[in-house]
Amino acid sequence: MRKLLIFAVLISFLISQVSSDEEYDNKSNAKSNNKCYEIARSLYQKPFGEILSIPFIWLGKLTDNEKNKIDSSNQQKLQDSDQRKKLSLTNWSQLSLNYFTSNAKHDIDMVTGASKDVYKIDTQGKFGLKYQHEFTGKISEKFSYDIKEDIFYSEKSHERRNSFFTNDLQLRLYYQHESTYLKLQFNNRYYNSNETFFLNLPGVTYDTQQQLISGATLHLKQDFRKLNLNVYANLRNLEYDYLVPDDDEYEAYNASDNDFYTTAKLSFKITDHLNIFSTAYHKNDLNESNLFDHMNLGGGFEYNNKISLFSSIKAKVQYYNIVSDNINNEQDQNLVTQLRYTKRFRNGLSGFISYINRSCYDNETAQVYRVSNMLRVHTMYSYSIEHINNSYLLAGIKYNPENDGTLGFIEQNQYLLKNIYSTANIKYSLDLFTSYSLKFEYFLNPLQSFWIKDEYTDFYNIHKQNLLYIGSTLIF
Amino acid sequence: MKKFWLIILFIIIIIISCDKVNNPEYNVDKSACNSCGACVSICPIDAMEIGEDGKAIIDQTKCNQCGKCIAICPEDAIY
Repeated sequence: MRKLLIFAVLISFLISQVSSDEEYDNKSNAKSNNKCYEIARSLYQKPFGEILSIPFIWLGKLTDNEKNKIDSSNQQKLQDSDQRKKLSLTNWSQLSLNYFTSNAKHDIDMVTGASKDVYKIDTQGKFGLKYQHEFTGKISEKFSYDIKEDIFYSEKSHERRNSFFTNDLQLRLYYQHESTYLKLQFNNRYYNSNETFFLNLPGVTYDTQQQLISGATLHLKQDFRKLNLNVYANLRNLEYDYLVPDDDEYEAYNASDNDFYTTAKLSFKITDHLNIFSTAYHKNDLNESNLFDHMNLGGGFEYNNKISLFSSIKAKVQYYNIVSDNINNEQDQNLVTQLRYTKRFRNGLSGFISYINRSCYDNETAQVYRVSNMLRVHTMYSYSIEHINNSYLLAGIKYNPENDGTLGFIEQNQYLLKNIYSTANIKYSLDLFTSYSLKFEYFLNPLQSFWIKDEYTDFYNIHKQNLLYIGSTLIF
Repeated sequence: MKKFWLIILFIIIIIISCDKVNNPEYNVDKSACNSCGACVSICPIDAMEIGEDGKAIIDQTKCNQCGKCIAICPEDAIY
């Protein structure tokens, strides 16, 4: 009886200690000195009430040596954080090496216009490299900038890129003061032309190879009390080669394609939850006047309401009229409806339901057509948050019958031991593919990790492929 | 709240019962897009680009609905 009583007291103590996340956060310092708590919390967080079936384990207090290690580690993190804040500099960097294998022995139709010598995908393994770096910093209180670099290289054919080498560079300058926001961006995407898949550019008769895409973007946001103005302009230049057949040989010519995009949105806040807006979008094809010009004019309303701390609802209804010679008449009048309901529970369960519908109205036949419907349901259960990363189970479905996009997926992120995590993911698409991936990641600290990942994809009736990655992610 | 969802369900059923448009059109669910640029890299007609908000956008005058971006998108954001 006494043992039972002691056990009951221990269990009640345990439950009182882990009664809520807020309490956990507030008491984290005190609890970090107690191994007992860590064990107890992991048990409590397990689904299906396993706490009652698993015996309680007492490991005692942390030793002085262990305490010192934790304290010095926390101190170092604080110093690093202060240093970054002072300089306002952040680097995010990811480097990975991958190895690509496939069972495909012949050319496949994954790539349009592929010629046999360069674009053949065969059973031989291929190496690839990917490097991404993003650097952000502040010039002054009002001005900030970021630089983004993305380099990709693959030995031969690859399923995810239309070029075996690309270098994407973006430079952005931001100005923000009171209710004004201005962004100026330049970007360059360079391709290795000899190893770039042929593209079918609209309006160009011959096969083309991308050389360089350059762009300059200006984005302005301005608030006037309840009125909000959003203007975006983008000038895009594509340099490409096109090949003209000449007997058995090809003659290569260089050309460029220039497009100028402008978008404007004016919105008015009627209440805290409701906005009405009007939009205008214009594309000016600077090469082929009129043929690929495009204009949308429209308007609608947005509703955004946080019903409670744990749930919110968003809705958007937008009508727009298309003026373009390149779009079918039946799609001139368009209506887009979006709904999203998000719900969060205290026990770590959260999720959302999202629905988007696009419909159009044909003036001539007086008929409504459905362009696309997408219903998305996601649920996530976070069952352990006491480590560097979160352990969770995520599952979802996407229903998109018009464009063969219907699929379901399940993903689990699991803390294993000593800052090592595993992530397993299965994605099943009715019409396109089934993919499986498994990743093991070791965190040196919350900002630095090394990982190994394997991704297997079965494209139905086309080919199967496997990608093995090894890489690192660093933030400093 | 139940009435609200019933009305929504009713509207969805009506919409789904409409005929499908002759030429399909792809769009990006911006709330799902993670700005990875995989669709830009795979598009065989140069119709995808990253917009002002960092999310992918589709130039409808170029897109020929080949569907490669749907298969490649890691967040299934294209519908």
